Amino acid sequence: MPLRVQSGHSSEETVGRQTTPHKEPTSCSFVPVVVLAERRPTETHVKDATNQTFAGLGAEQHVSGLLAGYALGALEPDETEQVLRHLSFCPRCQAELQDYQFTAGLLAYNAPVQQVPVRARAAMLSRVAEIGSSNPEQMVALPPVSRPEPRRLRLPWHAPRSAWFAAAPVAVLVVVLTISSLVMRERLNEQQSELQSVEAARGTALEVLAVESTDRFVNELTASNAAPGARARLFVDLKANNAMLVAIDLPPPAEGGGYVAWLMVHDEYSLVGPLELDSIGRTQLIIDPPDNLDKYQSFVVTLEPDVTTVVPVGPRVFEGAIHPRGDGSQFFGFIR
Amino acid sequence: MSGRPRWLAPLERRREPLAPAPETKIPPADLSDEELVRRVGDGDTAALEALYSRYGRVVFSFAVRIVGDGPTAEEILQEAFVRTWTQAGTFRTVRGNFASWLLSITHNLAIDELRRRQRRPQRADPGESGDALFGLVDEATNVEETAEATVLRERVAWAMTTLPEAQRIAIELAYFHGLSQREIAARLDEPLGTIKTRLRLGMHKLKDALAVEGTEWT
Repeated sequence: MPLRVQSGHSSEETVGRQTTPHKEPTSCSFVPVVVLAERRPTETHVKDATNQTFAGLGAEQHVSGLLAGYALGALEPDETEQVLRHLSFCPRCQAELQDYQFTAGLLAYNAPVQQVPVRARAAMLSRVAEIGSSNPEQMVALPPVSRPEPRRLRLPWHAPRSAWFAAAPVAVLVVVLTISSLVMRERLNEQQSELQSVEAARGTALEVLAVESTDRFVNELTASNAAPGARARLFVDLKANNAMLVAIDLPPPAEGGGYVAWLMVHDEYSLVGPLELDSIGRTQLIIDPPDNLDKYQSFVVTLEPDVTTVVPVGPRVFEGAIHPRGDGSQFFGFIR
Repeated sequence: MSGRPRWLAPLERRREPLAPAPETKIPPADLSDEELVRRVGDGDTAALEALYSRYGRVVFSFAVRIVGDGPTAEEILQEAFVRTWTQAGTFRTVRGNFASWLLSITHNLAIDELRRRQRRPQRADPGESGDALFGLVDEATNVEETAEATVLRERVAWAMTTLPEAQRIAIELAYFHGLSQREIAARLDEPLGTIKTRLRLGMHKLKDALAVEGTEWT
């Protein structure tokens, strides 16, 4: 058998592929001394360092040569089986193995320090929560409320943090689009309502203008200095008991203020309503009084600082008579 | 009419002996490993978290050293503590050292993962390591890690430097790379007996070096 002795760092002695017992002095007090060779396995006797003889250990030699590999997890399956079989009845090898395992366990600390990601804790606790208690009896004994809740389970779903970050912009976009859609729908409804009102007023205006009647006349309204350049006409149909105001070139009122129409009997004002101007100062108002229109003497438009007022406080912008002037020139029939 | 007037009842109740004061609550972080494991066995997740804060970084760093990438090491970290949760009763029966028990579980999980990869070769991704944080840092594992862990790191690192290089390499290939003695021999092109000897002598030297330093499990 070739003998090879390595020099240098290693103090190994090998004979072929058989390892001889280590001869270096160590602090281990139970380095085995093999007394009988492998050829007589059924009569194996071993002595430890204190010269104590162990007899009748079984049909195998001590497995000291394999224990380091066993502790490091480096044995082949057949070797592992051999070690386990021997350990089942050999306290000395069990003790030796404990030393190896202690040393091997410390190797775990020979690793560069890494920072633990915080999500690992939540994931671990999530799995623990799914599993439940490790002690089934305890689970039965404890009421459900006594089961401690995982403290770090903050997410309703156990999605990775990256998934949440990825989903956040999509969620914001969905919310924005939803809100925009609702706002646009609201505006569309308002515009449709306004359009219906305009269409109704236009229809009334066309009826007023299209139908010939001797009871119908138009009066020019006089503009005051409160709205210089503005012009207005009042179309009145006493038989139908309604009237229509058309005005142009009205200057835009101040913020919160507006033009308000009134019917007057002597010095008493009856509110008709505010005028709604378009972007170039035009307006049209249908007057449909609850009582007879011919009882009123005049029609007045004032410029109010508060468009919701029920009592006129602002200056008069237009005023004119409700009744024809008597020469008949303002009757519709004449215009025609 | 006999008996005490009814209006005395509230006063009577007040004279009843006071209930004993509740035990002072000790924060889980101040409890021993053994007590924490006992509580884990009773279903106390706060105790599990305390153990996690104490050993999470050691376990994670160890797993990264073996498997080489953070995400896999993170899974191993989770699995090690899930097993702590499910097997705490087993540990209490054994009455061993919790750190060695936990690190032994971690080692088995990590080596199993390495061997799975060997059966199913995977694309190498050296850029992905534990240093690349795929999330925020769990500061509790930094703050609450035992001081002994820091000392052990230094001592074991020093003890490894006392080994002859051939022995150190053999031990590292076995323990951190999951290679068997035969595989180490093949990789290093050395006789199997040489590798066995290197492992045995290396472990002896390591034990002696750590014994000089008075290393004990925490």
